[in-house]
Amino acid sequence: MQIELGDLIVAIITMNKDAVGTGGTAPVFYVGNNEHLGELSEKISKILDGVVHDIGMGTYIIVKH
Amino acid sequence: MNKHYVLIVPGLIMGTFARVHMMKSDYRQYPTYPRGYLSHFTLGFIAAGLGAVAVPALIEKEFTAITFLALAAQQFREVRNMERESLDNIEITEMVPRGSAYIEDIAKTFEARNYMAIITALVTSTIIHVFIILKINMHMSIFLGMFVGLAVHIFIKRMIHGEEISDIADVKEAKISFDGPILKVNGIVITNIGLQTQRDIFLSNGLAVEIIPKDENAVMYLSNMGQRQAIQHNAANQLGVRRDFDEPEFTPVAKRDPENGNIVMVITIMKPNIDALIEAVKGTPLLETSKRKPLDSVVGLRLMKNRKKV
Repeated sequence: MQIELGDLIVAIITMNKDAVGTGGTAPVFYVGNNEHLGELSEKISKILDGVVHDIGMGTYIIVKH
Repeated sequence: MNKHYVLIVPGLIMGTFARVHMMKSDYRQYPTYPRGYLSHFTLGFIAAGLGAVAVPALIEKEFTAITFLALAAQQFREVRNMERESLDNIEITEMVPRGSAYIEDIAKTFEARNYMAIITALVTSTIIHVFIILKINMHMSIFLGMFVGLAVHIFIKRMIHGEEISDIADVKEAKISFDGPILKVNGIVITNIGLQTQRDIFLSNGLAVEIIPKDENAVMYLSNMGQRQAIQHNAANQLGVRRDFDEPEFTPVAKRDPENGNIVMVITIMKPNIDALIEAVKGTPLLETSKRKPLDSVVGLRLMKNRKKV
């Protein structure tokens, strides 16, 4: 039997330090600009097989569905 | 004993024929060819054998032999479990899974086909026996028995043949759009797609359909998650989904419009062809497990009356 985690935020990538706190289980990656935000999100999502969601305020979350 | 072969052999032939006639391997690739064919042929032959020997056993007053039919029923329930287990095991290897409701439907169908082999064989040997008792020529009796067996087989085949989506709903092309990162189909929110590159793939390779139920019963059928999963699996299976295992965002999604019960489905395809997608959705079998008939209930009738008044 295979057990998997579902609907879990596995990483947070943001340009906005004020929008994201440091608590919680997901690591937070700070980036300087929009281009870097997209690039890093794509790289991490490929490693974790997660889906990149844009929640606004310059923040992307990677969710394992 | 030899006289009973007149009953057993035609029954065995008709029962096995009934099982073989129901065997086809199409886009579902189920049963698989040739190994799955062989195992189902063998089980069908055994089922036909059990049906065919029931009448000779009664003639010989071997009433305990009838208990073998109960054993057969147990055996074929095991066939259902076997099919379910096998499909469950390969589920994780599917790019778009069938879903447990579809698997249950397939497993039930395989069980029912074995019962059909038993019934066809039983009817054939019974009819032959009846005509022999009526002093009708043996060859004629065998012919009539096989003819009635064939008729029963065709009747059961029609009876267990399920409906398709096209029988209960209309399927039309729908429009994919983005509102910022929000993917929408005909205005219904599907999901949030973060990366622009992925949004572009949805716009270039994505296709969407709207499934419009014909009545309230159909609204209930389509609300079933298993039915929607079966539609997604069929569409992906026949058109070729444009995704790999590490691209979960391109998994087909079917969502329901809570206002009217319409279903919208979006899927990314290697070579998009909307007519082919509509055909694939229309041809999806209607699962037994998703069938509901609210219109047959007192509440359903009352709601219908109220609607007519309005």
